This record gives sequence, structure tokens and C-alpha cells, in this order.
Amino acid sequence: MHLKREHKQLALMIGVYVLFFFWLAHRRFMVFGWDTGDFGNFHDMFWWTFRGKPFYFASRGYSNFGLHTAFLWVQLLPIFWLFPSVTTLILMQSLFLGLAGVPMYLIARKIFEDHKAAILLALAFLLFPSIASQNVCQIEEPSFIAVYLLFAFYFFMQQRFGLFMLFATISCLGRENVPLAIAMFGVYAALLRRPWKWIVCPLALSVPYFLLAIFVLMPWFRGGHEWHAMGMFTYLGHTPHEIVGNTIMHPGLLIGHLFDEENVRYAVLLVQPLAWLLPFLSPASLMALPDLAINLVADNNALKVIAWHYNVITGTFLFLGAITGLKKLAAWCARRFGGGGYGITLASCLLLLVLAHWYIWFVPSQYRKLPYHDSLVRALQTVPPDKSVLVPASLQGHVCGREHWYTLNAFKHKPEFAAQFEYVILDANERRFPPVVTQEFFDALYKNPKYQLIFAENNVFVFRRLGGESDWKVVPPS
Amino acid sequence: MKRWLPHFTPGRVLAGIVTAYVLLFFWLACLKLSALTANSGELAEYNTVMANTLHGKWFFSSSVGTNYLGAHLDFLLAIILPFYFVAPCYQTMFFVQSLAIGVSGFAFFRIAQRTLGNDWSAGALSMAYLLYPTVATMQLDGFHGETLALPFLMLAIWAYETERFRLFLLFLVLTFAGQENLPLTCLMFGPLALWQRRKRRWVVAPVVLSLAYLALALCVIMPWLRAGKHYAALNYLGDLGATPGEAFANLIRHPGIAVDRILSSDRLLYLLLMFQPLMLLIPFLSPWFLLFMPNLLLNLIVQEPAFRTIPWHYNSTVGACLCVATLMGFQNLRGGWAGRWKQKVSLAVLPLALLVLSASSWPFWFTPEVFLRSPYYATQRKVIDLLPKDKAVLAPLTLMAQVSNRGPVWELAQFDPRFRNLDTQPRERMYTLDYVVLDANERRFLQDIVTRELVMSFYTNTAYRLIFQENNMLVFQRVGNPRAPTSVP
Repeated sequence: MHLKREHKQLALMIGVYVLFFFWLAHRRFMVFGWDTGDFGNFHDMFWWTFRGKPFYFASRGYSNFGLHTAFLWVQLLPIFWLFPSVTTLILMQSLFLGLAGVPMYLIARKIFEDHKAAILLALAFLLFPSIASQNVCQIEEPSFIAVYLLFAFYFFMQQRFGLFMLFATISCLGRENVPLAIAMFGVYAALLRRPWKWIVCPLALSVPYFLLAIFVLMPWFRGGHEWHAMGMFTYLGHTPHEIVGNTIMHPGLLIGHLFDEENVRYAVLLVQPLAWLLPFLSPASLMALPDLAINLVADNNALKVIAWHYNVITGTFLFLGAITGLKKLAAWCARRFGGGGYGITLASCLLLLVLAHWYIWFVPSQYRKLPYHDSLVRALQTVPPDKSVLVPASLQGHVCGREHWYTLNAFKHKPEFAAQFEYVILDANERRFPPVVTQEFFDALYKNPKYQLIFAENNVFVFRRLGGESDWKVVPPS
Repeated sequence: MKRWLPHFTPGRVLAGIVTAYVLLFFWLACLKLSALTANSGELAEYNTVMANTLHGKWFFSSSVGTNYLGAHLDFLLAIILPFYFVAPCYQTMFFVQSLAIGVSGFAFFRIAQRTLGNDWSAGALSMAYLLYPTVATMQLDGFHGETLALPFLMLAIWAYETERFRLFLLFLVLTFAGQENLPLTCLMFGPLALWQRRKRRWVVAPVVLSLAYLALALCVIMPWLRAGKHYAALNYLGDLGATPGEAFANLIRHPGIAVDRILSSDRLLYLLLMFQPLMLLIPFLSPWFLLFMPNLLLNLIVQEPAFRTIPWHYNSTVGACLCVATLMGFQNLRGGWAGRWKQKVSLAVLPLALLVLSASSWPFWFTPEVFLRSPYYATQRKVIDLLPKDKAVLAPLTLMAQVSNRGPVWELAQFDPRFRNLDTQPRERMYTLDYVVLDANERRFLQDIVTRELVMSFYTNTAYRLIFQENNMLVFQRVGNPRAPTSVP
């Protein structure tokens, strides 16, 4: 009976969390608060799957598995089949993130042997910037992996080998970089002096799978296209061989990059909600190292944005390291000052500290209706649901579920591709995302006899290209 | 004096940390200014005022043409004079400012030590105070006289706590001398004493002294020193009224205005940012919250958003009082917990948590980019070297502090009729200055934007000669009798 009350409390906390963040994320989407490109891309990935092209990523022109070996998307197919919309994906994302609170609670309870401290720490994890942010960002794979990784860690702690390997395997199916974190379980087990199977098996699972994913599966799904990840280390080279070679031959390049201002700021802010030092009090943070290293070594600054999806795995394991470190701190306090109850106090302090970092992922202006919101809605309504359309970044998720849509950037990157679209929505108020609608940009359509202006309100314009549907011979920009 | 020296290890550790803190922030402030990208307008003003005082013109502002104390009644600027005599430059003011905050931190430690009876907790809370956003940021937002009052405010609190009435009154008066708004804070010692059921003199004296000083400052001394010029601080009242009395009457007649403003999203965000580093509610767990209420309410009600900008200088006193209220609130919280938990639990953990929270709020006030030099730094340095001493110069906001060491310096906003400040001059007077430096790259400061028309008004002016031009920076030298263009841009 006592146990049931604890479970109810956990379920209530997760329920409130899921509903609150679903509402928040949905609002941001509905008020055109930010770029909605990946909402559209992932919605259409499922949409195409049910139309005979499994996991086809239209904006790339090939399967999403060519970008990331995210086979775990399969788990969303039934629910999307029942309720095919972006809203479903937003709810599912918040649900999976909320469910990650369950293994985190179990881990914290195992460490602290205290229900209240475990609840506080599970909540702190769910509100940790690199986790909470995933609710309100776009749809991305890592949000759906955290729960499996945490169960893997939980069963690792419980020394239940079979279940650990099961969840480690499921996690590997989430993304191609996950096996690197799983491999670190082997190192962690070695440090803990576990029996050999705990050391060898994670490595035996992850290393071959990683190589298979990178060198066999992804190239096959890409069908000859270039791997976008190679563009993230340009200062070291453009191919895996160049990157590895230059790292060895010119280590100064890497060291100089690692300690640049952007990396230092990223590293400080990443561990700051954990009081900077807590993750380093425990080797449990080891599993965060591979992703952290990738983020630090990359010269693509998107990977250093804590609120984006590149920091879910890093954040998850840093948090695990921090709570293990917190336990050590509580034990030290008990020895130094005597008494008990440090677990709850420290967990409360960590929760407060995590909460205090809301500014890393929450931007109030992204949840306010734009002054010309209704004009955008009316502009969207002028485009028939089956017609091709080019839209500003914030509208992409609202025009998905059709064969052809793209951002206005197509005009810049591949004008001949842009010319194939029948409708174009311009938002001349938009200054957050390129391309900025200048007078020249507007005139290029307005004075073009091939286009007809069919909607104009509050600087929002809809043009229709005359001449009907294209033959779609020109492929999207790479 | 010996009593004030720390006897215990935590005190000594704190003394070392405070020394390092003072030196670090002094260096950061100098670094920021030397990068030539920060707005140094107010610093230049203070620098000129100090230089004039050293030359016998007491607190005279060259740009305003009257006594600076007419704008802000900062008698405490006198503290800087001995230092400035030794090293007459703006860096001296930075040092004294950081020193004042460091000393206030140490005074805070003495209060905390007495209140908590635990040196380590007191040390941690003192560090939390020193790193509290609106306290720390004072050292990186130029120089402001109000900061010099912080040690005296802390000492007044210490004297209040230790019930040393005469010392309390002395430190109270010294706090008033920091700026004309500080009596509002000091006044609240009266209600605080009433709440704490102190003797009558503790209740009456702060109220009477504060009100008397406020009236004397605002109605007699400052108008006299301004010599009839407009009191620029009244601009901040916005649509509430032209005078403090009118604004007060409006707020009484229409209380909805105040409520609407306080509940607006930007005010709520400001409140969150102010209270978050102190665990949100802890400052309200003791009657000491009274101390920060007047200036906090003022910041909430005025229209000017600058008052609610954390990295700027409008919240140093509010921040300091918030930290004191947190300390007292923490003590009350600890008292409440003692029955249920071991007292040492809260003692060991919460001050450390407050320190971490306060320190981790650095993104609210610290931006590493401000220490980076501009891409045309070399050109800026050439321009500074080009300007001779004792000439009247119009300079961009980024160069004003550097130029102010050489002679009188003006900024573009002073000749812009859109700004109704104490030092606003007729536009025509701009064309009488000896040197005019225009930085056409600068687009951050609205009042400093160089238009084509402005450049041409000098370029086509026969009284001026273009003597330097590089990377969009232009220097004009007056070569003839002053002559304003027929159409002033």
C-alpha cells in the first residue's frame, strides 16, 4: 500500500510534466514561435512511410536512416497511423521525455534509498536544461532514446545483465552515436571491477554496431549522397581519414579549438546547473564523454547549443554522474556534521539550481502570438492542401503533409528548384530567419509575370505561380 | 580596528578572496574599457568632474556647465579624491569602486557572522553577496557614485544589529551621501524597528533623518547646484507626472496604474531575475525585506526599462538589501527547521547552495564579448593619440573615457534635442568644438549614430578640416571661427 502511494506521486509528477510541456511546446508551434522545419520533416517522414516510401526524408531526397540510424522511430508508427499530425509527435516527444523520469526515479531511489529525494531528483532531471529544452524544441531522435539509456543504467546498477544488454541494444537503435556511450559502460564496469562480461559485452555490442552503422548502413540508405556530419569538423578535414590524420599530425589545431571561447562557455553552462563539480565526483559521467567530445571537437556551433538535441545523451549521463556525486557529498556532510536528511536537502538544492537555469531553454517571446498572427493563418489557408508551397522557416511545420514544400531558402540555394513550386508565402515581417524579404526579393515575384499576388495583408504575401504543376525534375538542394 | 580584523580561518580566507575579488573586478573593468567597445559616457563625466575638483572647481561638470551634484547628490565622491590625487585617471575610480564593494562584502560577513554564529556559513553567504548579479555588475558598468554608499549601508545594518545607535546614525548619514535616492532605503529602518519592537528612537530617528535629508536634497541643495537647469531624473517618471509629487498623487488616485505595471511581463521577468539567485522567497522570510521595497517599487513603477536591466547600475542598493534580507530570512528559516532537523544540516548546505545559485547567475550580467576589441581597434587608438590635450572634443561613446583624461569631452546626444537631459545643449553649439570624432561603424547606441548628413555638415563646413579618415572613423579639426551649417542635421 505504501509503495502504491509512492508510485502515484511519481505518476502524478510525470503526468503534470508531460501535459505542461506538451501545452508549452504546442503553443510555441501554433504561434509560429520558432523554426518548425523538423516538425515538418519528421511528420512527413511518417507520412511518406504510409505512402510506400519508408522513412523518406523529402528535404534530403533519401531515407532518414541515411542521416541517422534512428530505427527507434518505428515505435511511433502505430500512434501516427491512428493520429497523423504534428501535435501527435509533440505529445509523444513530451511523453517519452516524461517517462525518462521513471528510470531516473528508480536510479535515485537506489542511490539515496529515499523516496522524497528520488522524486526531487527525478524532477530535477526532467527540468535539467538539456532535457526540458527537448520538449519545446522541434521533434528529434534523442528525446526518444533517453528513457532506454536510463533503464540500461538502472539495470547496470542492479547488476541485471540480461535486461541491461536488452536496453543497451534498444538504445543503440536510437542513433548512430549512442553505441559510443554504451561502449563506455564497459570502461565504467572495469573501473567498478565488475566481472568480465560487464566489461566485454557492452564493447562487443557497441563497437561493431557503430562501425556497421557508420560504414555500411548509413551509406547504403544515403545512396551515394554525402554524409552531412562530415561538414562539422571542417578545420580538421572533410573525410574521416582527413579528420583523424590531422588530429594526429596537427594536435595544436584540435587543442586550440577545444579551448576557444565558445567551447569554454558551452562546457561551463552545461555543467553549471549541476554546480559545476558534481558530475566529476563520479565515474558515472564517463558515458557522457563521447558525445561531449564530439560536441567540443565539432566546429558547427549548433552542437554547442545546450537547448538543442545534441546534448540529450551528454546531459543525461552528466546528471547521473552528478546525483552519484551528490550521494558522496551527502555522506561527507553526515560524517563532517553528523545527523541525517542531507539527501533531501541536497536534492532540493539541486532542483532549485536546475530550475534557476530556465533561461537556457525558455525564451518567453517565442510563446507570444505575433502581432500579425491572424494574417499568417489566413495566408496558410489560401494555399490548397495538395499544392506545392515555399514558406518561411516558422511555417514549415504547418504546411507539411503534402508532397512538395520547402523553405524560402530554396530561392538562394537553388533557384531552379524554387521555381517548381506553385505557391510562395512571404513574410516581410520576419527577421529571425533567412532569407530576409527585401524589396528586391518581393519585386522578383511581384514584377514577375509568371507569378500572381493572391494575398497581401500586414506584410504577409502569397504568390501563385501561373502554369500549373511542375514535373519536379530538379531535386532539393543538398 | 583590531576587532575588525578577522580572527578565524574563514574570515581570513574571505579576506583573501575579497582581495582577489577586488583586483579581479578592477582588472576586468579596465579591460572592458580598454577594448574600446563599451559605452563610457558616464565614466567620462565622472572623470571630468574629479579632474575639475582636483583643480579647484568642486564637482564641476564641464559638459553641463554646473555642479555635477545638481544631477546626483553624490557627496561620497570625495572619498575618491585622495586616490585620484595620486593617480588622476578613470582607472582609479574603478579601483575605488571595486574596493568599496569588497569592503561592503566584508561588512556583510561581519553581519552574517554575528547573525548565524558560524563563520563558514557567513563566508559562503558573503561570497553569494559579492557575486549577486546586481552587486557584481556594478563594477563592469562604468563607475557610479551610488556604489560608494554600499560599505556605509552595510555598516549601518551592522550598527543596527549590534544596537549601537550613534554609529548607526553616523553610517546612515554617510549612506545618504551616496545618492539622493538612498534616504528612501534608510527610511525603512524605522518601520523595521517598529516591526522588531525596538525603542522609539530607533523608529523615529531614521524616518525623520531620511525625510529631512530627502527634502533638503531634492528641494534645496540640488536645485541650487543645478542653477535652474532641468532635473534629468524626472524624465524617468514618464507619463506618471512631471514631478515626484505629481507622480505620487497620480499613483494614489489611480492605483490600477501601479498594479498593471507591476504585473506586466517585463516586470515579472525582472522580479524573477532579481529573486531567483536568492532562492526566490527567502528574502521575504524576515522583516528585512522592508529595506529593499522602496527602490524595488520605484524600479517597477517607472516607465524607463533601464531600471529593470540587471547588468546596469540601477539595482545595486536593491541587490545589497535583498542579500541582507536573504541572510536574515535564512536565519529565520534555520530557526524554524531546528526543531525538526539537525540545525547543522541547514547550516552546512543552504549557504553553499545560495553561493552556487548566486555565482551561477553570471549569465545575467557577464558577457565575455564585451572584453573583445573592435575590428578597427587600431584605428580607434590612432584617433585617441591624435587628439591634443585641453581641447574641446566631440567623441563617440566608446572613446569618451579615454579622451576625458585630456580635456573637456562631449557626446552627440548632448546636442540632440530629442534628449531632454541636464547637459543637453543647442545643436549649433556642436559646431564650436575644437575636434569632432565620428565613428560611422557604431550602430548600437541610438544617440551615437552617425548619419551621412551629420558627416557632411562638418565636411562641407569651412570652419572644419578633415584630418583623419580610416575604417569609417573621421576626425575633423576646427580651423576657423565657429560656424553652424545653414541647415543643422
